[in-house]
Amino acid sequence: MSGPVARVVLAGLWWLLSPCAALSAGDTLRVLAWPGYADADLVAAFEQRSGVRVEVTLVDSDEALWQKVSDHDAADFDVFAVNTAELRRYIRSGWVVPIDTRAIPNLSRQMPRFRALDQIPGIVHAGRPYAIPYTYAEMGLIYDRSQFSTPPDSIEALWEPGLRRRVLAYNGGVHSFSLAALALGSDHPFDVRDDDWTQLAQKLIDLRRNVLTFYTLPDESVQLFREKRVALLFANYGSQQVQLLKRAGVDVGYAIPREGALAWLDCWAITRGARDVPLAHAWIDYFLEEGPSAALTTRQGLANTTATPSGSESQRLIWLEPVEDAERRNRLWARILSGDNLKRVMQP
Amino acid sequence: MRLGIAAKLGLLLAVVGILSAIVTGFYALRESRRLLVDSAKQELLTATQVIARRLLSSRDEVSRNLHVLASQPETLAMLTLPDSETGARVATLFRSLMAAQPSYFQVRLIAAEDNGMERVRVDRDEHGLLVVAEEDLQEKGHYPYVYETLALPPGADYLSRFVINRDTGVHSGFGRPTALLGTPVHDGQGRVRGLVVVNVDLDGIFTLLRADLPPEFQLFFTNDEGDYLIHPDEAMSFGFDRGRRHFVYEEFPDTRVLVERAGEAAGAESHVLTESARGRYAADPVVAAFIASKITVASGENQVILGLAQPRDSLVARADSLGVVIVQLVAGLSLLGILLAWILGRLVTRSLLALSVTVQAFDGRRLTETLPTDRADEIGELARSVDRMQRQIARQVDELEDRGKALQRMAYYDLLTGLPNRRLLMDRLEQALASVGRSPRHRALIMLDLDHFKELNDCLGHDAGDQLLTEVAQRLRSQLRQEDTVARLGGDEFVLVLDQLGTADDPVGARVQAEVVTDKLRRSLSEPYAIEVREEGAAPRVHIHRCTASIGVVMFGVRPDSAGALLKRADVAMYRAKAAGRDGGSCLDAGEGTVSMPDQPRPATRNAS
Repeated sequence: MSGPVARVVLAGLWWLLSPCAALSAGDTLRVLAWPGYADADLVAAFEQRSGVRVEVTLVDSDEALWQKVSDHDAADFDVFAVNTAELRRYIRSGWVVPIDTRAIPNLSRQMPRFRALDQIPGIVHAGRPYAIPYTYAEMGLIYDRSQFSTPPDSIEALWEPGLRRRVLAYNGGVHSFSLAALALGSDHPFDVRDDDWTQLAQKLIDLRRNVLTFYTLPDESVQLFREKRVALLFANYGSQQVQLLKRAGVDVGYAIPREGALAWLDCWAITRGARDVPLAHAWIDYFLEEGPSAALTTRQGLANTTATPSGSESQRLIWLEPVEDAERRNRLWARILSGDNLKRVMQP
Repeated sequence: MRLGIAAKLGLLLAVVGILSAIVTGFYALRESRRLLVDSAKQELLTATQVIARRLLSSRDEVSRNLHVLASQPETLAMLTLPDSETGARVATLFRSLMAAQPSYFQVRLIAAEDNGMERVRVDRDEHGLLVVAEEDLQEKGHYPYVYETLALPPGADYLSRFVINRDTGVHSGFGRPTALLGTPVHDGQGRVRGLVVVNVDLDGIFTLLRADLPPEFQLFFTNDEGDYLIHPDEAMSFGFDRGRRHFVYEEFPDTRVLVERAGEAAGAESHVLTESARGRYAADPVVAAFIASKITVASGENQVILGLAQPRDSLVARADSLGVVIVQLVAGLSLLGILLAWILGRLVTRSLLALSVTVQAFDGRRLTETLPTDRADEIGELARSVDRMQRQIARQVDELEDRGKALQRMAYYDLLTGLPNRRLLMDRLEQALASVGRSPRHRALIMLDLDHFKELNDCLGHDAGDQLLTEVAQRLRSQLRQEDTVARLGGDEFVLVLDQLGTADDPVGARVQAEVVTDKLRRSLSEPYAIEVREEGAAPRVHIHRCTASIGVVMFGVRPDSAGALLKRADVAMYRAKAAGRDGGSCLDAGEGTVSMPDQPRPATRNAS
């Protein structure tokens, strides 16, 4: 027995013995994920193992994610990747269902801080977990070593007039306001008070006037950084972008500003409209295995939840939290991005 | 089933004809299908090239319009010293252009200063054109189309990436596929002061392009990464904007090479002719042409890929109508083949049949003149052989007949004298006797032999005897009428039958006539004979021979009698005559004479007859 026959037979045996064998074949698992979270080869391996087809849809912003999940009462997708800060509104809206941790044996591979789900803000609601941590990253500053004699040590560098049109910032309303709040010295970046909106909006308009442009996807930021001689980049995707830039041959440094870095923790969650909940659990379990976890780090530069983080423990990380009014932030941000002045931005 | 040569030959020819027609037809059909698909691909490619050129010319037109706007003094004035009056004039300019170009949904003048502040902006909404108020103008300096265009030399263009418009500023264009085309505005000192930008509605442009295509044609348009921007299925277009990318090479794998070439330096346009039976085309495969066209102006895109697809069935349908014609042609040729084969078979076998009839009609004598012996082919050869055979047979039949006649002569005639022999004499006698009842008449049978014939034979040899016998026969013949018979019985014995002597009721007259004839015979025979004698060692000499004959006469013909008895009585009469002295010895048999009396009732018989 050799060649394709052997492979087919072995695959058949493997399928029969695997826990997924109980799952109905011919189904489609609809996954909503971020770029780099579900590479085609990993998906193919899961498809082969489970016998189902996986349909991956990519999102590039929290807003797009919210839009897609909430459409059609969360019936369009089975499982999706969401950060802990965003998760709360999904729980509140009832778009997600609790996770059965017993159905995910690989949880035991995770580091203790991620296993203690109740210690992570936003995951547990009414005593039941609604998501499983998958990957995380802090949003530091990436800088071109040739344009900086010393690494930038403050977020204010993004507003530095000397770097005008050589700064790249992220196109996202919620984070931008948090960033502006940090820059203005706020200790509650996720909870903007009524008096502060105008000041923050002006700060973001100033940022708009200093940046070259706003990016949404990691690849896009890398291309702009390289081609436009950008000096400083607010790394919404953190070490993932560092790795991409280094791979692209750019000599970059990565700095965590003294104000601290926003950090996000992405988890897998299961929608209320999931057609096959055990299959969704199998998907989450699969991505906690050694292979997919390692791929996350080696390919994307993302930290996974099963290995020791590479960054310094002393750096201040500000875990993202649900914000006071995401919709308002996004509404204002859309106006800021479109180029409106403060007066028009602050219009009701 | 037994088949004639004509049938076999015809069948063979017909089968060969039909087979060749079918084979020719099959290959013609296959080849024509291939050629049709190939030519359709070429047509498709040409159509795609035409559309690409039209797309290019649309872009050139936008570009020309941009340059016209950028070169207006008001435009520069509005950038250097903005005031509301100049702004209004520029807005009027923009409006008049947009009124003529329904696919432009926004035209703007943007300053290089003031963070890329818009100076004039005209939007299109569902109600018409809208000049945006000054306080609603926005800063656009952080958009790539602004900073990229500002970096260009005078007269150059920038083409943005093809995106779904998410700019909150625009009106009707929000959420629509769009591309921006911009050109910088420079002042006299070589400083860039701003830019003019047009937002073009891609749907509008492609709707126009599609309008000229046959309905079964499908139009595709992708960016440099192969993301569908225009696809017959709306859900496949701008997939990246919805987070699920759809690439052209997923449906048309051959186009991957075009996408991979995107990064290469601008060069000649490249194209791919392909077919797809994947996904949505599984049921209805298409033939498609794709062209990768490098974007020659500064742009966020390196190239675009334009494609046209056409259902394969619609091509094959054309080939099929050709197929019907070919099938008809094949059928026609086959029928013609059958007809020709039949005619040819008939031609060959008609000659053979004619030969056969000729040979059957040949009776061994008459030669047939209808044989086609002058033909140069195998049939002619056969005819000549038959002719030769006929002539040979005819010759042999003639010989056989001659021999038969000779045999007959030998059977009924005396070879030496040529006179009837005994057998013929007996026949004639029997005949004569058989007719006695029907037509009684007086006849005489005369028997004679030569006196001393043996001595002549012995002295002068058989040859001399034979000469004598021959001469005697001639003399006898010459003395008789045609209806009388002279026969040689053998040796020197001759028998003569005299027919019809006088009337039936005159036996005496008949007897007298018989005696007259007998006397004439005797006189004739008594004439000397010149016999040529050849003796060995001596010259031939003539021997004058004299001889006499003893003659016995028997009258008959009135009463029934037998030939044998008649001859016997004649023999007796002859010997009586011989005994009475040779020569002149002629003895008349008294039998008939004595019984001539009962000829009395003859009148009654005559009356009765």
